[in-house]
Amino acid sequence: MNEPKILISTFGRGEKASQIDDDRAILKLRIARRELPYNRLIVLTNVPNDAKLKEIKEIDEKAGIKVDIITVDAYDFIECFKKVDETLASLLPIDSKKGKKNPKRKGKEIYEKSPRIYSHISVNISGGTKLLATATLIACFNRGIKAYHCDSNGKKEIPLINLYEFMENINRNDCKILQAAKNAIGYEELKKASKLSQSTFDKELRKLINCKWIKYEKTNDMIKYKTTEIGLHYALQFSK
Amino acid sequence: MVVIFGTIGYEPKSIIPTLTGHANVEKLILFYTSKNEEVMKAVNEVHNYCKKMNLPYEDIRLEDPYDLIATALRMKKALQQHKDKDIIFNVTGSTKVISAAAIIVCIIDNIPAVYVNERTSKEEPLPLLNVKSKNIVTKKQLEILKIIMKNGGSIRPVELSKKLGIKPASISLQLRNMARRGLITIERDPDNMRSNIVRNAEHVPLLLYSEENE
Repeated sequence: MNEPKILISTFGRGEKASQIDDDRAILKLRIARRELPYNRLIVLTNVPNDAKLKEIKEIDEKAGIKVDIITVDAYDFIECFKKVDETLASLLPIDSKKGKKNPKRKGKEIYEKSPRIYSHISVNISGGTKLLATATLIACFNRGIKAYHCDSNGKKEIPLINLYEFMENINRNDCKILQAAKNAIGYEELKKASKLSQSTFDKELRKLINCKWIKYEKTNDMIKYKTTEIGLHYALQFSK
Repeated sequence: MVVIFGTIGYEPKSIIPTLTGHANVEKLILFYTSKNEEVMKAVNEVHNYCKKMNLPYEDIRLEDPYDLIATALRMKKALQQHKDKDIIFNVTGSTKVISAAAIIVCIIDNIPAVYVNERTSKEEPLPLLNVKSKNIVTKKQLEILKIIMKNGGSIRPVELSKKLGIKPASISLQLRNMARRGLITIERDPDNMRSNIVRNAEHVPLLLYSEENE
């Protein structure tokens, strides 16, 4: 059986786009399809009913290629990021890693540690709004997936600044803290809710604040911690 | 004091909210890529705004809007010149490749990145992971990359192990690991088919920049 090759591409246009921009948008998708191998196509777009996009879908489906069109609000960064990350997560072999335990870390990792780049997925970020492309690129870095910029100049690989090892260190303790701080909460309450020892709790909380998944605010001489939208997104993803 | 770095394309509105949204802004560094009339119009508008606000600015014109590595290196150079300052990088304007270069530089150097939402004209922070540099490249890997770089960008594993003073077998696992991370490529040596040749990835100069220019 052929190894699945999945192409994810951003596509769309800005609110002030002209006919030339529309032509460029479809050209970028065509070039990505030509330059990057695929037998499954996923398009992230703010214009799911675009006639030319539908045409491409029809052509690819006739060739036996599964095409998914995912609608995003290309001006809402958080929504774009969440949808892209969910899409990437659904394509990664996470389940096979689940349950594998590293004895040194008392089985707390969600993923087994194994440096890898997922070569079966290519992501083209040249289409759509800058915001959608930016959200897609950051999600790719976090998940260790290669991104490309395809346009009339050809295919350009974006160097992968691979942050997956950081993501692999996200453990169930972190998820507990992230979920407990869904609503703003004080230090003692959060520690109690996490059911972690003082030292573990402090270490994990510092890590989550550093990566901006938890923010804190000082009000009336009291510090309250709250999980950010991105933090909550990852907490849900990792607890699945 | 804060130095604002910003990429700019057709829209002056993409940078001004960052100038107004932060206290103690000391300087603006503007990156743009073309002599296109619309881009220059936007740049002039930002210049005029800075003059009115008595805010010093510096322009950095990038040669190729699609050369990510050259752009990122130019950004690293400018960041190095302001390394003792607090920096905020607005990545909203210009081409997607230029923005990608800015995001990469921000991740490597732990610089807060922001964008201005085209619809709301509000500045929003980008959720870049604040990772330690060892999460991107370890000390040992950095040492290997430096040796390869000094050797002209490529080296045979045997020569590399000699330079590191370790057995060739010990280095092969590390090299495979680095290849999986996208830091190097391992190919058959065209001059000796029994040997491999290790090459640095295109973006390695970015990872070595700070060390070499301290």
